[in-house]
Amino acid sequence: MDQLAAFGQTVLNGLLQGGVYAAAAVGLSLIFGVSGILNAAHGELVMLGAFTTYWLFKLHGVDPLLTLPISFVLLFGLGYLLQFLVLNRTLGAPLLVSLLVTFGMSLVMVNTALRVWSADYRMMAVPYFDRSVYVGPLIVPLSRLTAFVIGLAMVGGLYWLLQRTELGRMIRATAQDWEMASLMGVNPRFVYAVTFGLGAATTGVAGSLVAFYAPVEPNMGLTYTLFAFSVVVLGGMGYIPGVVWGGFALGIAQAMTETYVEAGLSLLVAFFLLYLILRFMPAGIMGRGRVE
Amino acid sequence: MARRAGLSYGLFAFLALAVLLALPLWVGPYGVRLAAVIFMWAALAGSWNLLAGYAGAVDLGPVVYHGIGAFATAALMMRAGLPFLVSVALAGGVAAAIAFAIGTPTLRLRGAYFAIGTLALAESAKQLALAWDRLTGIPLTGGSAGISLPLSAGYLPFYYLMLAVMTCVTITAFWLERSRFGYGLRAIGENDRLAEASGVDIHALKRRVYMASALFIAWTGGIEGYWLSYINAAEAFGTAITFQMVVMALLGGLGTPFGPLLGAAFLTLASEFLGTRFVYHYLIGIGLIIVIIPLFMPAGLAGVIRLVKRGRPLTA
Amino acid sequence: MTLLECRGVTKAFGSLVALKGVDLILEEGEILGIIGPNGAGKSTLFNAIAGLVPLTAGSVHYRGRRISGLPPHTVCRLGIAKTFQIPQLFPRLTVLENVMIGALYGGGEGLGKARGEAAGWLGFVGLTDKGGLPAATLTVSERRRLDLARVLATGATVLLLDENMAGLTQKEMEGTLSLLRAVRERGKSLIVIEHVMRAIVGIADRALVLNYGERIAEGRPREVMQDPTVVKAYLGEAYA
Repeated sequence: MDQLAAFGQTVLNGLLQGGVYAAAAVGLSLIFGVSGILNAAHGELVMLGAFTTYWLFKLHGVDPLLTLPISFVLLFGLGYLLQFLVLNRTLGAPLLVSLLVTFGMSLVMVNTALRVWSADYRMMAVPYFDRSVYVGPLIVPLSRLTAFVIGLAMVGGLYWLLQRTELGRMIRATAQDWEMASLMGVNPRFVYAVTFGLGAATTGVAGSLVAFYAPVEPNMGLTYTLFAFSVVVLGGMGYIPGVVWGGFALGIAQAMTETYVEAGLSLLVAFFLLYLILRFMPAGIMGRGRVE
Repeated sequence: MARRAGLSYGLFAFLALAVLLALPLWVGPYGVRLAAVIFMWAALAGSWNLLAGYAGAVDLGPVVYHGIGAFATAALMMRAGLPFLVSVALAGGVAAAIAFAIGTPTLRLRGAYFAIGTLALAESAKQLALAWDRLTGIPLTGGSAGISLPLSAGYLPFYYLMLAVMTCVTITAFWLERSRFGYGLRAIGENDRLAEASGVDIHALKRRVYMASALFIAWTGGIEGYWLSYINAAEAFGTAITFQMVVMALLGGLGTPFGPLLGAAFLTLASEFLGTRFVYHYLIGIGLIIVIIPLFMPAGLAGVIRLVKRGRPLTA
Repeated sequence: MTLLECRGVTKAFGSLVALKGVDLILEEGEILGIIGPNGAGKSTLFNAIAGLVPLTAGSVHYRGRRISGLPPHTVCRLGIAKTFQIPQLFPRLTVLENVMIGALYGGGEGLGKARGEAAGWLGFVGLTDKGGLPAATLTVSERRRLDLARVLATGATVLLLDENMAGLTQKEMEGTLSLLRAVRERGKSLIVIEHVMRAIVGIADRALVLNYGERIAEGRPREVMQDPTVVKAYLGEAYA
């Protein structure tokens, strides 16, 4: 029975983590699917969202849950400006250009953060997150559960926005054929900027969720960038619902490695899994992704 | 991008090499060491430039071969007892062989997927190197503590070694600009589907360059390891090295033989004079440069120089 | 002799079947025309022959040897070369260098010989004075001629020309037609996709009609044009 419980806990941990990965990755998928931009600064947006929540909580005592909408708005604004002022100039240029420009942005963000906040690890201590829910023998920390639920809700919300609203239609039309869309009265530059804003906002909120249960530091971004790539490729490039499966797959793969192999190897497994999928199943687990 | 070198260009290069060979006579130890560092980065950036600048394939994991070169050299020197130069040379061979094995499946990826895939591989390699000793019981990498190599005397040999590798890389780039192989590679970089339909075996050509690039990067890693007398997996396989290579090649001018050297010189000097005192500001500045260059100066420094020389604007 | 043969060539993209069991024969020295409405699968057929897309079923044979499944560069070197509906080029290489690639790799020549060959073909298509310019500077009709020079430089015996004459004026079309006749005189065999009926009538020995991925008629161009099945299917632009 102990074995079963351990297995169940592992899968549960993987799912909980996976939900947050999905939330952290959906912005990358959206941006790539619409503007063809591979955002190398993706992880830094996670970091900025995490720090937003941390400082609002630490300095102003704002309830962590209330920091989420603030995080969303701030990161949306940042993303919109970045696209509008900088990235819109890279449209139509080869992939390398957007990759490098966003990498430059990430350098600026990381080092500004290091300069302003130092490299210290910081962890939020939220009293009501200190508890756990118990499901049979399984332990579900409240902080992780909250992050999981909100993260998935956000992915669902983004999906709803894309499928059911006017704005979403504009975005999808531009993604499919921007020339045609512009002939229909859609301003592609505006759409790209809004898309990047949405992508950044969701990523920032994901970062805020991470802050609920994990330490926050300026260099945390790179790992999340790679995880986000993994999730997006696993689930299918540009296919929004896929990030959920991709996130779960990655989360469970990591949890399994940590429990049954060795904790230090979870990154190795994650990255190698990414490589294998890219090479052998580039359209993702469900085959719905965009392939070059 | 097609240029006829002309006698003057080759002559210039030859003279420059002569000057560099004699440089230690005129410049003190600090200058020689600085130059050696510049040559090292020029070799690294130049190797990356071979695949990215000519074949258009953005590899984000070249650091793998840097690590392999460093650790293979260390292993050959300390376990097999081989002399340094032999070890480095062999380490290059090891890297080329691994590059063949890795390149065969990986080079089938294109564009963004190739970039992400190579990055994923590099990070996997780093994790593997960190865990190797513990996992396999074969003491090779020293885990997170790293390995110490026998102390090396002096800095002059390393100046010439790095100069040698950089020269090899630059000559290769020159050769790519005017050889049959080079035309094929550049066709791949311009339009790989069309190249394939015109008879170019794109996979085979890319793989050859990939292996050559791995060779040069591994040599650099091995030489650097012995020079510093210490290597560890996190740094030797670290993405920071990749990013520096990319930035220098981009800054100096992608797809040109001297661009990487220009970029390496510029950034190394900038970091020398700014970096130690204002680390974060320096990196922020680099970040801004990386944002601005592709947008406004896509041909890099080499493009600016060409512009000045011919008075005609050049697109990248 | 039969140079090229397609047997039951079938290509499906997921649930979309672009080609259904297409049979085709090209004899040496022939010019075969392929016509059909948009979306009929004509370009896909070319891609399948050239090895650019893998077949779902069926096979392609060249000089009696099976070539389906071979990589595109091998097919090109064996002697089949294709132009593109939207002309493709190597934008930053010069016009001459664009053609050289065909000679170097399709034809397997050395550098010096390739340069000479390329210059020759550039003259043949009338682009000599553009030789030193970056290919990206060419106009669309010049790009088509460049595409043609490139496939000629590969030394291929079978040329697959995809809508080389779209959007040309009457005079330009006559010029291209005599160019193609000269190409045939040099021993090449051609398969030509066209929408312009006058071009097909003017140059093709036989014509094959595709509709929804299936071959619906074949024969001499004038006969095919009057075939009621073909007339029923959308014929594209019919010059009076």
